[in-house]
Amino acid sequence: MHLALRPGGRRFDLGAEGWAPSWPGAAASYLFSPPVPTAVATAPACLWREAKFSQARRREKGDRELPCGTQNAQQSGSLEVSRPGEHGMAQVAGASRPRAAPGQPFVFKLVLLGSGSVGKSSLALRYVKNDFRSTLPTVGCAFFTKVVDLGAASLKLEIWDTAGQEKYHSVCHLYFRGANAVLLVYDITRKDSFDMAQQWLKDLEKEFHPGEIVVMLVGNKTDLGEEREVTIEEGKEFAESKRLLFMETSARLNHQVTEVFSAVARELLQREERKEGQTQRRDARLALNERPAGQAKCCAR
Amino acid sequence: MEAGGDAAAPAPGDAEDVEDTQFPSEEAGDGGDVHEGSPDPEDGGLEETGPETKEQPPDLLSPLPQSEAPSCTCGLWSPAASENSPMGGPESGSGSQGGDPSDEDWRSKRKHVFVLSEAGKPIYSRYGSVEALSTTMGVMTALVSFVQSAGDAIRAIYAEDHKLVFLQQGPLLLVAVSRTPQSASQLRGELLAVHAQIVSTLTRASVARIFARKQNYDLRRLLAGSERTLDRLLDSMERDPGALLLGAVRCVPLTRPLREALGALLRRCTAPGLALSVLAVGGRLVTAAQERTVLAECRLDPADLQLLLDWVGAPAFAAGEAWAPVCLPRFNPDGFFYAYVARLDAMPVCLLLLGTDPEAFHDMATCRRLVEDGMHTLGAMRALREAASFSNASSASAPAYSVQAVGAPGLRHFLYKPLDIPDHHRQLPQFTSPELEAPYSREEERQRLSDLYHRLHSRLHSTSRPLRLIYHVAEKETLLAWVTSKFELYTCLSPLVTKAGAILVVTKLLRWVKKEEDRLFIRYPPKYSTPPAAPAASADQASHNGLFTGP
Repeated sequence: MHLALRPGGRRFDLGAEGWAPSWPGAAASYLFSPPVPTAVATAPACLWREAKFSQARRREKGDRELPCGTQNAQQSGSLEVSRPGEHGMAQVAGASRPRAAPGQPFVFKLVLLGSGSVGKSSLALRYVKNDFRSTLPTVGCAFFTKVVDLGAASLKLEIWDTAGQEKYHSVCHLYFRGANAVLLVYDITRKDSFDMAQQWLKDLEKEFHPGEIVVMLVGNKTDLGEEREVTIEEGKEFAESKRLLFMETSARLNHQVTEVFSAVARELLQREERKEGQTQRRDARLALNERPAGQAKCCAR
Repeated sequence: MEAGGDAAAPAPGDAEDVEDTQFPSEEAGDGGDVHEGSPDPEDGGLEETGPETKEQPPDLLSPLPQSEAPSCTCGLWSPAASENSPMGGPESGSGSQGGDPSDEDWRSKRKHVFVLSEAGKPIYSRYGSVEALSTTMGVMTALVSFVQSAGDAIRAIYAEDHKLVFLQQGPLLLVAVSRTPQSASQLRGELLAVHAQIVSTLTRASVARIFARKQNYDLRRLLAGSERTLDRLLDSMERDPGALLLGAVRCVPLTRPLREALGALLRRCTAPGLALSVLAVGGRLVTAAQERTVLAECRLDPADLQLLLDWVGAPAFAAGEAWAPVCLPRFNPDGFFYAYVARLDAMPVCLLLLGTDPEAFHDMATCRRLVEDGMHTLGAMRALREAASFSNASSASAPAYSVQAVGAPGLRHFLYKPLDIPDHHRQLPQFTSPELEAPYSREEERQRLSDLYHRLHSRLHSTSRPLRLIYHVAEKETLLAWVTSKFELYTCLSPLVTKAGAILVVTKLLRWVKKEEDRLFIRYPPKYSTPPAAPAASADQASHNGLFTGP
């Protein structure tokens, strides 16, 4: 039921590839994020952006001509316009910062993904506000935070509840970048939503390394058991084949909702602790290379 | 009947064009005395219309084809439905039923709006299920392509009491079929608003690209969930026509020091790439601050602002903080802004921060906390709560004022849009109107008033023969509409008012608006400058920005 944890800290070994994150999607995903300023600047009347962005855009053009390996370093340079001080891992900046400050609880980014009206918002609302009501389709993405107390430790979950509608699919990449955990939600009364969840997983595989994030498959709406189209075995089987966590819930009846989030939180915490151990080991090695260890933060392994 | 214009404050001077006729005959009798949009306020045409015994004269709609270039009359839309009820009858939320064109209930709707693709694929229908209407939509496509094959474009069809208005926007065809007294150009304005709504979620470029790739694409897949937004939009245009008619937004009445403090607060709380900050309550503007360069180079169109106000007023934003791409169709129909939307303090007060950086969510969230803290310090929350709680039960979250506040007995309702505004003010066209109170508490009463406003508006702004002043005695109310270089005003008065009395009331109203103008309008929209957002890299933004990846 648990995700395989790859041993060792291979990904941030400073080999011949340099300091670039090793998954190909990372560089690509930044490149393909919606470049709004450029878009705005294309409007005939919008001279105002043109001047401001021209310099930066020239730099981007340069980026694109560079071979893949060096691209990241270049790009992080241009990124410093908005986020000075974050090198290298700028692609996942903004969201992935497990520990805000020493003594503060860990902060993890959790993203809800799935087709429209499978109950993503209801799950979030039930968990965060213990409320259930018929919600309207989410616009873009809704953001919640919740502090989870796991007895020994507590952590803060940043919950990104994405819109399931197809029109928002391509922007969803925006939201799940830098995620530490993903809930893949489907509706047990709709086979197509289960297929869609598998599709989402493929997208995630493109974006993340196996084992990099915690993924849980969630079959929602168990209260509509008589209309069930996806059996619990099907869900379980798929989850096991892909090494995902799995649970069935009912946001309406508040069945296992908290458990889902707690399970994910526990898993995240375990991984973080394991990673801390590794980081310490790696620290020694990194010191030799004179690289600050903090930059490996986003690697939630 | 005589023209008594000179009693009111900025008198319209001589009324050289006094007619004592009804609308239809005027439309037909388009004789020699045409006003060429006279810019001089003194040169006003005064028109009077006698009491109309019927709400909708049956011959009202047929003979006015002057301004509509290629129009033909045909009996496509059988008028059988109109016998049912003159006011639209059972309008109450029956969007899901039937939709079979032979269904009596469906036919009795006052106004239908359809959206279809060029290939004739149905995308949206105001009433009924889209599937059941595919043949009807097929007929529309046939009509359009028939006229197109002759190198022409169909714009409108007048059939007895129905108007059919066609609007082609790229690969989308929008059709309105209406029995309301709205003019074709007003209907076209509504269709444009519907199109803008679609563009705001998808962008024009991506719609075009989708259909270029696959002509018979079913756009409903991408618009899933937007139907209700479109329903809401069309409902609000029906019920509260001010924003669309006047091309302006409505403000929350607020004392000037408080509004200015809030404006200053928004100006202080900026983030890189932030272009527009808006505080709104129930779809009405509290204040809005714009990035200086946005303001200088390209205006924020009131239609775009209204779209944003409607958007953030949607119940979908009730929980949490939202971060969503949104396109402003008038500003740039092909690109996205990123919007941060949050309800402040679990109040109906809504903060919208519009920026260009898709990654700026956390910056915006920080910004919001600053605004929230600032508002607490100002005590603005309480003031806004008071403003919000004043309005009557019908729209609990929309702060407004009563027409009683004017202190002019006989005045029932009005729409007022100032035109004599300093240049910096013009960036934010605004209007004001009081809450609709009895006798306009029922749906059909409101509809009647809305129809009357529409009719007066189309007479004032007629392309062939614009008027400046209309005194219109209807069956259950008297209306006076007046446009000068300083304002555009529509008033609804009690039916028993005399003409002299009406002028007295309007004079009083104008004085009141002048006195209250700091409270009713945003006089000095705040501006700020922000550093540009970090540019995101990509050549062909639209393919991923356009929300369409193609499964």
